[in-house]
This record gives sequence, C-alpha cells and structure tokens, in this order.
Amino acid sequence: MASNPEEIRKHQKLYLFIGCVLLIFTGVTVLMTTIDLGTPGVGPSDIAAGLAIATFKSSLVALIFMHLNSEKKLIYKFLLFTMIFFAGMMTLFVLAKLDPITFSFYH
Amino acid sequence: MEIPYTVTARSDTGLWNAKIGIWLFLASEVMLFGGLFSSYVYLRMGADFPWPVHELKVLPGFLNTMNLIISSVTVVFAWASLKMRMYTRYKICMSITLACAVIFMCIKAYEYSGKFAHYGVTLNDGTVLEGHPVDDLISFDDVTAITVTTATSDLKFLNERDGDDAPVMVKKPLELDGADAASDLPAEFELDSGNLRSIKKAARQKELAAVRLELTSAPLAFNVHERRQKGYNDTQLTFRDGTTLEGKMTNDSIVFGVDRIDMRMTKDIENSPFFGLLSPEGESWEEWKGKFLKHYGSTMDEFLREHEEFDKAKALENVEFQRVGLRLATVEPGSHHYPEVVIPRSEKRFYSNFTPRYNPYYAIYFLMTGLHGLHVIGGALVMGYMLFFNGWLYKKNPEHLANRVEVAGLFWHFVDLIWIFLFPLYYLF
Repeated sequence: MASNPEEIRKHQKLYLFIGCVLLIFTGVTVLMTTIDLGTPGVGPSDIAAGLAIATFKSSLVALIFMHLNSEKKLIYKFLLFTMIFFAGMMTLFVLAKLDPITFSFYH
Repeated sequence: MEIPYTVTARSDTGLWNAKIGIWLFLASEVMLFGGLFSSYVYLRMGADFPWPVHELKVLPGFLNTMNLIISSVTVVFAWASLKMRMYTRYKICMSITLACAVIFMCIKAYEYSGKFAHYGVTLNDGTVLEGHPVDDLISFDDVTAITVTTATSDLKFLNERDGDDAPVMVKKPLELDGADAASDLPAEFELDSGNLRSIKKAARQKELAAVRLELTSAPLAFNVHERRQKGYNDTQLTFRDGTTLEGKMTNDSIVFGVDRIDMRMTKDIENSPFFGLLSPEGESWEEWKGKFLKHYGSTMDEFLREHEEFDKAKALENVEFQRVGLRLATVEPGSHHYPEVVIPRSEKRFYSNFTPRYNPYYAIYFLMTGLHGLHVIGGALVMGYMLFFNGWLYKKNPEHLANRVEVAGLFWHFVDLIWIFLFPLYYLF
C-alpha cells in the first residue's frame, strides 16, 4: 500500500479511474436487464451475468480502494479464513435444497 | 500510559492496532452479510409464490449505487489528502462523503415510505389485489360491555370510538366486591385512567385475569383499524391489548383502490369470485374480466411472436410471461384515480402493506437493506465525528488522524461493496 505522499499523489488518478469504471459498469448492469440471455425475463444466465459484474466491481473496490492489492500478510491470512468459512456457509445453504439421490434441486 | 502502535506499525506484523481491528471486524461482517445472502438464496430457491422481480423502481437503486461509488472515491481522497497534509481538501472530501450518506438515506426513506403506503389483499382463490385502502375500518356498534384484562389493557381503544367523546360510565363489577383497591369506587363511575388502575389493582387482589364492565351510559360505536384488532366475530371484537368489546359488528368490508390485479396464483381465472365483487357505487367488476382476458390474450400473442420456440402451454409456465400476462395494471403510470372494489372480509385470506410480514421477499429485503442502512448511518456518524471533532488531532499528530480516516474508509468501502451485490439482487434480477 502506498504510504509516502509522492506515491499517494500518483495513485489519485488510479482512484478516479476506478471510480469511473465502477460507475460505467453500474450502468452496464442496468442495461443488461433489457437484454434476453437465453430465457425471456430473468433467467439463471441473467443472474449469473449480473453477479459476475457485481463480483468484478467489488473486486476493484477491495483491491484498489481497500488496498488489498498490496496489503500485509496477516490481513490476507484473516481473509483466507473468512473466505473458507463464507464458502462453507453458502454451500451448506445450497446443499439444503439439494436432493441427495437425484442430485437435483428441490423446488 | 500511552497505547503503543496507534500510529506506527508493529515491526513483526507491519500493522498498527486499529488496522488489525477493522479487518477482524470486517471479517465478522462478511460472515454476517454472508448469512443473509445465503438466506436470500435459500428463500428465493424455495419460494412457493412468484418471487417478485422488478418490483422495486430501478432509478432510486441506481442513484444510490452511483451515490455510494462517488462516496467511496471521495473517502479515499480524504485519506490521501491527509497523507499529503492537505487538510482543507480532506474536509471537502469528507463533507462530500457525508452528503452522499445523507442522500443515500433520504432515497432509502423515500423508497420505504412508498412500500409502507402500498397494500396487497390476497383473496381466498389466490388473486392478489395491489393498491391503497380507502376504508378498511371495522364498524362495531351497540357496545354495551367492555372486558379489560388485568395485565395489558389500557384506554387507547377509546381513541377508536366513533362520534362524541362523552364520558364512558360503567357499573362497578360485582366480582370486585371485597377487594381493598375497589373500595373507593362508587356503584357507577367513569372509565378513566385512574379508575382503570383501581380496577386492575383490585382484579389482581382477587386473582382475576379480566374484568367485565357493563356500560351505564349510552351504547358506544367504534371504527377499529385493521392493525388495532386481534380478532372479532359478529358480537365481539378483541383489541391487540386484550380489551374486548361486546356489541354488533355492522361492517367489515374493505374498500380498496386497486392499482394492479395479479392472477398468477388464482386457481380459476375465468371464474374468480373477484370479478363478482362490486365497486362502492354498486358497479360490477365483471367488466374487468373482459379487460383482463384481453390483456392476457394480447400479451400471449406478443410473447409467442417474440419467442418462436415457445408454444402456449410452455409460455404459461414461463415466469416472465406470468409476470407480464397474468397481471394487469388498472391505471396508467402516474395516475392516482384507482378503480375501487368492496372486499368482504370473508373473501380476504391475507391483507397487509408491503412490510416484512407481506411475504419472505419483503422480509429479507427490509432486513438486508435496513441493516445496510444502519451501517451507512454508523459510518456517517464516525466520519462526521472525525470531520467535526478531530481537528485537534490533526494539529497534534496528522498521521494518527490519517490512520483513523483509513479505518473509517475501509468500513465505508465495505458498505459500498455490500450494496454492489444488493442492487442487482433486489432491483434488477
């Protein structure tokens, strides 16, 4: 993470650029709702595409604004454990809807 | 004693205290919101009703997303300004961030108030009418006796009285004879807060759960709001605090201004009893049946034209067709002249405004956006404190203030990050 004033001064353009990218991709996500991706209305592909853009945007926020692109090791260790538990929790919820015999989701 | 590592980093971790603290906190926040996002997935996958899509107006959500992104840029600039020892620029950037937070909450309040004022009535056959209640009061006349509970009754139910505010006179109940607290009560007295206190005290002495009070003044009439009552029949009405009226229910119909008819869950559209209901002027809603079926037919034709791979049966199962074809807006956008219908309470299965009790969608929507809103308020308060009350710290040790702003900024970015997911999930898909 940039810590001396000179480096920070240089980073300001990057912050502005990332802000613009985030604004543009917000617009793109809204425009996507007007396009059919396979199924009429909102289908799984629409949700997947929307979440992919959201993930991209949140990655930019985390990496650039939260400086995770150059953080200390200890922070990465915290986040690694968090991600493991987070993924485990999401999986448990999804598995609750999974039929163990047919491996299809209950409706 | 001075606390170490508030400004400079520890040599082994390379981090100062608050930096570790905020990241541990954010890790716990990831799990908190993760649990809620998981719940959202679970509820959406298991919904036994058409999951609302595009129910929220996109524009306010879109503006709020832009707003939070702009505030994320300004808060990082506020931190950078402090690092470069540009205090005035820091104050400007921080002020813009706070203004964004205020705008965010104002837009959210606008959205929430719209939902609170919007109602839905589910009829027994599954038809849902959305709109605004014109008159949903339950009229209860000829009330000659009131039963008050020892534990919970108060006199708020008297506010639901129809007509004059003349004193309510009651007879002293025989079952309170012998109780010290009732010894001062005359044989006939006014039902006011002091006397009610004496009655409840005496009832407790006699170990009674409730006391029935017979009126000696003229019978009372009530117009009770839906949310005030706990239950009623033709001769009794119980308020939420347990107070019960004995009298005669004279009218319990709901006069409802309908802005949308939703028949996605209707068992038999052609023969829905909804079309047999009347307007307050006595006009039949039968003509709406023709309008609805015409709308259904034209939407189906258009849908099949646009999606050649679909046949009629397949289209009927399609969620998007159902959303557009089986719902009919009764007014043009922007119009406030809603056609009205009189709904007997016996035809109503469920009636509520769009609050968490309406359905699981609104429950998780209000939970997640409400919790997110609390985070916005919390973040704004902390940053406001730094802006208005931490000037002294800048003079003493600017690096310390920069560290504080960095921590607040990390939290603020996290709040933005959560919204980045909330926006598409609730507003777009």
